[in-house]
Amino acid sequence: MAKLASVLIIDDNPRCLEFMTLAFTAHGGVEVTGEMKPVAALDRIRAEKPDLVVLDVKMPDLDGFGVLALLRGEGNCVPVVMCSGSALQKDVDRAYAGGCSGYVEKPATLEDYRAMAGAIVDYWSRGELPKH
Amino acid sequence: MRRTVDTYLHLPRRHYFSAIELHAVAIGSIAAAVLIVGYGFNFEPLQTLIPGFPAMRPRTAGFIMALSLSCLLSLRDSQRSRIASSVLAAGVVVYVIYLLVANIDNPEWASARLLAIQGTAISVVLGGVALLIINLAPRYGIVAGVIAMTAAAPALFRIVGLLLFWGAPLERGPLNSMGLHTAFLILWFMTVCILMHPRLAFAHSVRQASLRGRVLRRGLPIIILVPMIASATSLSLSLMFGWASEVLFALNGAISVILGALLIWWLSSLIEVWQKEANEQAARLSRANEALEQYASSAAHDLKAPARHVMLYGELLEEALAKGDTDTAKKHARSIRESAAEMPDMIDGLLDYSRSAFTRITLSEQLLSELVQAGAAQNAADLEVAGASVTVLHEARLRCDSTLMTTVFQNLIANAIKNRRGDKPLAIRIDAVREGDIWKVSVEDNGVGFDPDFAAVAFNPLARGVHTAGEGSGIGLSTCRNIVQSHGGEIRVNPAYRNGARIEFTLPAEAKPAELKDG
Repeated sequence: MAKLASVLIIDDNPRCLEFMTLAFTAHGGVEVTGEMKPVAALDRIRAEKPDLVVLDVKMPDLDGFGVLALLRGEGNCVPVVMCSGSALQKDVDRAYAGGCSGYVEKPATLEDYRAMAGAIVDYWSRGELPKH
Repeated sequence: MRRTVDTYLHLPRRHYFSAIELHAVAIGSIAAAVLIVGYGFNFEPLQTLIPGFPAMRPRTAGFIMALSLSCLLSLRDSQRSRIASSVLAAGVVVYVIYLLVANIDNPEWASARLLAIQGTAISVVLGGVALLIINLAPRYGIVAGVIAMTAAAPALFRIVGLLLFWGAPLERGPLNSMGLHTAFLILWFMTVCILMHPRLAFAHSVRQASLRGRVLRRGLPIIILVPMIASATSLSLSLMFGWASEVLFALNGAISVILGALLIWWLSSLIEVWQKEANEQAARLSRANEALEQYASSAAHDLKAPARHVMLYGELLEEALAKGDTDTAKKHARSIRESAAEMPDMIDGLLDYSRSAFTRITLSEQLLSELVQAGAAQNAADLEVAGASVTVLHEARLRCDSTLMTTVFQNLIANAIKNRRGDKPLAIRIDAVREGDIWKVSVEDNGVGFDPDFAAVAFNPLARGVHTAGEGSGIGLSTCRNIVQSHGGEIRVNPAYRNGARIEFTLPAEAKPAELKDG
């Protein structure tokens, strides 16, 4: 079983990034890094090849859908879990149509954040991870 | 009979309504002068302007004076005046009918043998009946209107006939007793005192800015002119060339049809143009509403983030305090403050965005009562169900975009209907007061009112759901705020008003909306 070793969190909001980082770090067992700029994040994905990307939907300049489209467009199969403040069905549909691996709504409590991070890490630790 | 907006819409007396009082006084004075001076001093020009024409009779002058007085009384607001007006009108009606019946064999009265009644007497009876309807059953105003036209149209043709043919052309016609003065006063009384009577709201319909008013203003004068032109032309030609009456009939009919068809054609083309304008306005309003809905959704989404952050940092703060880690606790406390501080800026930014929905506003001078009437018409069915009354206390000429301002009144009236009390009929009172260079407009009702906490946020689209009274305000109040602000005004709920809800907004008298320069 392939081990989930690294997670890159992309969110333009430093607070959201902090909560997400705290949650994944609290679960342990994975190396967690964050990035606030979507364009810079694309370069880091290509260079660092993280095992999992947690991607915010609503961002200035280039939103989550744009980042996902560019990644899939260049044939990158890294698992991408989209994360948004709202779970509007049309956004969920659009994300899956764009090739995301999961879609979660940003939790409202620390406990939920930790539970979400744990669930994501456990899920992607079960099987073979797609190669970049 | 289905109630119309006019039956529950109470509009302020206008300058042209009070002018009706002057008209009634003038009509009564002329009749009095004919009676007192003409007969008292045997001053013939007052009885009839042109020698050889039928004269105005003393009794007729008395009837016209009575009808004028009855009209004056009916224009007063008090119930007592209305009753006095009705009694006077009923007295005239009964007395004239008695005269008609009692004198049916009188050789003088029977001079019109084709119809043993007289045009003047019938006109006086019709005027009395119209006044009774106005006083006692204004909702059947259309009947009073038809009655007034029934009396006015023959009088008009009588005047034209008298002048055109130098005397009475129909020796045995029912109108032949009607003198020039009488016909003129009856025409005047029926068109001004009855048709323009404020309680019938015909004048209001004619003057209103809506499509209906525009059609009436253009169509009515022409529809009167058409038969006049047709009759005058055909009669003159017949007299000139000695044509027989069947030629006269055919000619009159043909000219009427041609002129009538031209009128309809012209009006239909006008309506087409107006309809196009209305469609464009509706499309613009629809786009603006869509932008607002998007704004509401976007605002809800964006405002959730800092609220969530405050909660999460609060939890982190608790955890840090439980561990006795003061430094981390301080850090999280600072984060809470910073997250909360983001909210007002975010709200301001979203507001600026939403205002762009109303960049194209067309300012023109609008009567407050017309805007209210248009807004009430949009809620006509609900107002009827609620048994509501809408009263405009004072008239005002507002500089605004008529479509958008109508939407404001539509939404505010709809809001009052939603939040009405079950135990008493809804009464909406709308007023405008000029203070310096701004108009202060207020809309108050006797409904459940606003919760003081809600009053502070009533115009925020995010306030939906907070509002527990009635069915909720929805996007309506925030739309009102956007429109008022785009005119350079402000809107608020008066928190001190306790008898229901009172919403106040301001409009610059010389509106200079900031958005115009952007549009």
